[in-house]
Amino acid sequence: MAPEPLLSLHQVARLFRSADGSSDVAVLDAIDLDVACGEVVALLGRSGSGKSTLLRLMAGLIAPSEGIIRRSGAPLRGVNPDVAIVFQSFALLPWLTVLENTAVGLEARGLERHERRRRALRALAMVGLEGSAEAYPRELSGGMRQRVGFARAFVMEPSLLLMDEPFSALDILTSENLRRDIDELWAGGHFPARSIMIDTHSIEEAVLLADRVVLLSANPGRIRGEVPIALARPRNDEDPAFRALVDRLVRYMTDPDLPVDPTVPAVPEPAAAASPSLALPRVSLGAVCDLIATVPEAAGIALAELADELVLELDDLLPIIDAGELLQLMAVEGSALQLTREGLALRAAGEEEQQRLLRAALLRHVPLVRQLQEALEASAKREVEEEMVLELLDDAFTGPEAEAILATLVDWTRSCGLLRYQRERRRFLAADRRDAEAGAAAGRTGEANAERGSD
Amino acid sequence: MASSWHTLGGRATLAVIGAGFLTMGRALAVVGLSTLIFLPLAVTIGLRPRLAGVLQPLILMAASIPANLLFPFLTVLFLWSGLPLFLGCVLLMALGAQWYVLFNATAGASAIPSDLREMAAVFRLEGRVRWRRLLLPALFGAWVTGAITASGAAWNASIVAEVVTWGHVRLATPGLGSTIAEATAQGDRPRLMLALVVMSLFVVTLNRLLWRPLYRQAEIRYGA
Repeated sequence: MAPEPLLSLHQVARLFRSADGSSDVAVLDAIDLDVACGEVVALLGRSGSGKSTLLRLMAGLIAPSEGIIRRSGAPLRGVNPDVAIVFQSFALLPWLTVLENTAVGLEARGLERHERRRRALRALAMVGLEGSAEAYPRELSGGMRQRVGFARAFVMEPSLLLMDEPFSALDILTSENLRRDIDELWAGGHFPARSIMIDTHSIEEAVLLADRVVLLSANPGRIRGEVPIALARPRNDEDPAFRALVDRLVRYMTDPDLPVDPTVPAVPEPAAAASPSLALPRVSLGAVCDLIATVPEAAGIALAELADELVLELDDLLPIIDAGELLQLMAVEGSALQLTREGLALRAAGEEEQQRLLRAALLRHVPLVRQLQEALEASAKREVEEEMVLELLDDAFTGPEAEAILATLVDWTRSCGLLRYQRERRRFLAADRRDAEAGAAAGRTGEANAERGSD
Repeated sequence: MASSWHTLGGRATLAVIGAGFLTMGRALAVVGLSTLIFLPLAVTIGLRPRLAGVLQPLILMAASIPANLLFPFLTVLFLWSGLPLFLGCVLLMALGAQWYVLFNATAGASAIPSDLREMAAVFRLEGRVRWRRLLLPALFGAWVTGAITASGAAWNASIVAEVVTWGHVRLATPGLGSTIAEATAQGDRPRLMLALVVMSLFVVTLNRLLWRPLYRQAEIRYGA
């Protein structure tokens, strides 16, 4: 019989009470996942995929609402004694020195002072911090603080090291250095943990560190599938095989409907003519225009490069691209972003013309906007209650989701001068044509001010 | 003070100052006892939002009962049990003052960031280590705030707690509070003046020598 996995999740779900307390919202659903001894698993998903919750379930910090978690075969109760966590926020105690912070878990184990010190210093040496043992966390840079976070976890020599977006609070250069150090430690075979589970929304990070990448869908988080990463360590991010894997994962991340199957080459499906979703990505039209201005006119640009250029996490970039695609201003081809004809026109246009093009794109490609406009034209008073929009959304979305879509709809239609919205009366009004022209002439800054004034 | 010295004589003046030390001891005992009893309770409540939801209204209700309404019951208890008012009045003073420690420490506990709580759980900080490394440093600032207020309240309460009556029975114990209460009742202006000045001096000195340094310590060492 095969040895029991270190940790095994079977049909695990986790519900949270919604903000208004009326219903339970599933954050994670039907999760089946094993972590074996000696492997590095990356959990990759957009925000809202419940990665962090999954990690906390594995640590025993929260209990599953459904399903069962086993630790070496036995059901997990309470905090998992096999794990140590590296926190996104570092979670250092500000009143303790680096050495005391590193040794805090050993102190809890009841080791005597001398032994604690010896082991903590050894762990600090592994992360290159032996010289700062007596410093306090506030005296350190972010990168050094996270090194303390790693040392504190290393010193426990856990069977399973959980890393919760450990590099995402650090600047790009610092996080790359730290990532590389972790990779080298693991490749060198002296890593003080037997397995690693890392949750991340950085694709490069996943490919650099993991033996396999588990992809999560969002809202609720479900496992879409997994991609094995069979590259030799330490890994080189310029290696063509490395790039190919990054590209494949980018495609999965940009297209939530693309089936994750490692045996099939990931080719984007022809744009499905499926029922158009009414959902709107929560970004401003300004962000879409800014993005369009960054894309080179002819060739398009690789997504990873684009994220770097805009100093955005891919996770923050994707909703903007979703919005751009929805308006058919841009399209993702493979792992590159290209502007459509409409996008190119928008890129070349002046402010006033941009507003006009945005209005046209909204009317043409966003069904909600079109329906709203038709209702306005049919109404004698040229007014429509926002309730109408909420009703359209009622079937497919929960209350808070519908509210969010409405807020985006207000923002979009108002910022390009297509419609007006009166917050106190919760109504949409047809834009007075002269108003709209004036608004367009005043440009986007003027619009932004007007909006702030009316809120 | 000088004129009181003239009128009252050195011995009586020294007696008032001695009474100040007695009452200071009691005020500090109030803070110490409240801390011992309520710090663990504050942590229990502060770290469990659901329990806090149930207990907080009850505690607020208990705290809103004017302390001196309860004095007769405790006086009977003292008479019955033979507990001298010399010690018993610490309990009376604590009735009103204790809540400041509880409320501030509870707020402090619920303000401990969740990542630090999770860290403490995962790295198995329990019992003594948990108190020493996480809870006491994290609560220190809130505790100092509560302790300062509680100590002030205890000084005030001493005036009604060091002399109590139950029917014809009148209990009194030496202290600055009873000195003030009695001087007021007898219309002894010089003694009253002296006692008030002494109390102000004690409170100011305590602030300078104890609370303010603690406050600074809380900011420098335990501020995040």
